[in-house]
Amino acid sequence: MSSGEAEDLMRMLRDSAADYVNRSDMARDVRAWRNKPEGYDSARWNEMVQLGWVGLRAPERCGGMGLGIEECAALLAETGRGIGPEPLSAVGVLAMRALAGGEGTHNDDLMSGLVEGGRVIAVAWQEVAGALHASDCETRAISAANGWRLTGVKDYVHGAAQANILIVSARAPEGVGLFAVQPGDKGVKLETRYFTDGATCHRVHLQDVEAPNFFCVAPPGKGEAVLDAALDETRIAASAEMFGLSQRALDMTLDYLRQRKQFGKAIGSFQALQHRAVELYVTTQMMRAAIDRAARAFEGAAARDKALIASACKARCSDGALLIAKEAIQMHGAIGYTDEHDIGLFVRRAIKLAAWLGNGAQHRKRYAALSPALEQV
Amino acid sequence: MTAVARDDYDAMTDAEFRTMVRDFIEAECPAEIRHLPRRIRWHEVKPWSQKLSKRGWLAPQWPKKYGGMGMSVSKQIAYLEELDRAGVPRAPDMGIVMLGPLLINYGSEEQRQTYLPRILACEDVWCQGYSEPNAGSDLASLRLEAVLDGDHWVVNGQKTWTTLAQDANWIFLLVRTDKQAKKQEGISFLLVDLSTPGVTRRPIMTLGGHEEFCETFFDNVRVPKDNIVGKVNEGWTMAKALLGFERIFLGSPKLSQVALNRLALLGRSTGAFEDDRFRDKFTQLRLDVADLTEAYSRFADILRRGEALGPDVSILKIFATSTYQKITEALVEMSAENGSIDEPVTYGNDSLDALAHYWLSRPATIYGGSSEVQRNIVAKQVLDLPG
Repeated sequence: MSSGEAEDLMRMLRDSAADYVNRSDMARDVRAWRNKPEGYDSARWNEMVQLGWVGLRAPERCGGMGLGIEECAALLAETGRGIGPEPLSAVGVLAMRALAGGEGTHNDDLMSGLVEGGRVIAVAWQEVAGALHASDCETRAISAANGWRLTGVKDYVHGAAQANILIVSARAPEGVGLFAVQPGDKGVKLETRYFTDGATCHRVHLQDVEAPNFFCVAPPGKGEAVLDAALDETRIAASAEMFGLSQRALDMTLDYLRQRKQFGKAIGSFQALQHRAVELYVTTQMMRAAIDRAARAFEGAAARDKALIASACKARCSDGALLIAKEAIQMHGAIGYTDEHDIGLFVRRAIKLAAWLGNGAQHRKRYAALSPALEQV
Repeated sequence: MTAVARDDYDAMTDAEFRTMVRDFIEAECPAEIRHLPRRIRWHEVKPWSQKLSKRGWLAPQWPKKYGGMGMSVSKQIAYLEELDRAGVPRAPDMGIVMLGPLLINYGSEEQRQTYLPRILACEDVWCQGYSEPNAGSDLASLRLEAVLDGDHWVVNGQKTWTTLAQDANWIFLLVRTDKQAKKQEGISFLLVDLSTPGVTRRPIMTLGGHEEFCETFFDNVRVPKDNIVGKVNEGWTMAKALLGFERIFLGSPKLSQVALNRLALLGRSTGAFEDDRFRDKFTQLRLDVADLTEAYSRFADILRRGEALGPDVSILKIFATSTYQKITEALVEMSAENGSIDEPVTYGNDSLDALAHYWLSRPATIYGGSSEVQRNIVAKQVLDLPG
């Protein structure tokens, strides 16, 4: 693709996403579907499938668009503005990239299923709060007749509301592997809780669950690197979503500052509020810089560099989104503290995404731990 | 290579150009004047400026016709970045950066022929007379007065924060020539020889312990009538129009990067990197500098495409200077008692004067439009807030 074509494609993607966000009342969707086990409207999900968004990061041989992280980040920044409840990052990025990186014989079929919409796949990898790496895995994979038997408990699973496949990480003597199981399989039990934005948060109990060889996504020993790369890419995706929702929350706040009158004038004319609003704008621009830098450098980087790139980006965007969220409440005054005003939906989404796959403090710590002796700055 | 080919800068790739500049700096710019944590004085930097002058590199932004390098904006940015990278000091350069472009755009041909060659020859050193005791952020309220008397302007009043006026022999002034007009409309641009009777300079000591700027007094100073640049009462418009692409440099990551390198030195030497709190703070600052660098290059790309910067460029200065100050504050904090002594402390083979960095960073949020003024600009011109 020439750089001109790439720019055109990027613009088309942005425009179609912006158009989608503008013509649908996504905030109403969030309210309609929050704290419900179905999680979101499957018809809407199918629209996103048809638009190619779910298959954006799928290889072309599987019917995907085969586009890069920069395009993916651009799309998610737009959809992030709309805060729809559909799990684009959890399914279209995390599951897709785990499949794309693995070597399983069935992976291409699974990716095609995601791209076409017949399958919804979520990744159940995390076990304890605060875990950041694929190696944080206690779930066991024991060798069995035609494959493996999995036992353990997974938690904080995003995007599994309508999943018909779960990719589960489990540790065998050779190392961590990734296995595909179905929620209805014998020995699988799902517990449903909800994140603050109303999206499902699943805990998955696995007791001697049979995972056949042909359904293995990445064999033991290979799964760790595959999953870590997918997690790091998803951190950039989540950052892009946070950038989008932060921009929108700031826009709503600025509108409010222009319209709301007290003491006979718009409160946006008060310098104290103006300067705070500017800090928020600066914050969004630094989030944008962090995402641009990460999206450009990620693909093709070595594993440790991917971790550094993703952590730098997620740290900036998690902290930024949380700052904008809490300031948006404050500047809206009492109405900002009510559930009926939409700004709260943005705040809740920011809180969820900031914590997902590691918050700012965790990522700075990870960055520091992985940095080359902190000697070369 | 022939001299002509050697100086056909826009025919070079950016990489070739950078290598050429880098090699010249390494060969010609003495180590003892590089990476100084203070403004350098003219007598210290003059030999280096003369080398640049001889090479034809003193005025990168001027057209070739007037002895400049006549380069694309992209090459100008590359040039300044290479100087920054090597820690090359900024000479008293107001003649080159401000006055030159002003004369080239608005001056008479006679003024150009008179003043430009002398700047290039390092004969004239100019300083900028804008701020006054009661005209800082609100510069347009300036009151230094010039009244026409026959063939001369008679100048009375005071300028202040005149950077390195004690090293200069000429000053360009914004003066009030019409007291009745709206405040921006009665201002003219005037060139004054500092040896004219009635001019007095008093250097001012900064908190950093350096005489970086002066109060400059004008007591019935008679200035030839022709020393006005452009039209009378249009000085404000001209000066403002020239605030072009150099605004991006106030938001350059360079100062922050240099200070961060010093903080890394301190962390290594004191074992502070073992401390979680320091590691977290250091990492945060490091990522601030990385994202600042990315944001800076996005604005630089706008210039490279030949487009004009919008008012949003102010966010660079806001973020760059606050980052810079956070780093120098960390330097002082991590230095413990050493951070309360105005002298270098030895750490291994290196040394660090933490307070010098701290002092140097303080005015960054004040000069070139204070952070508060920058926020006012962004609030109104970018965020469209009322009032």
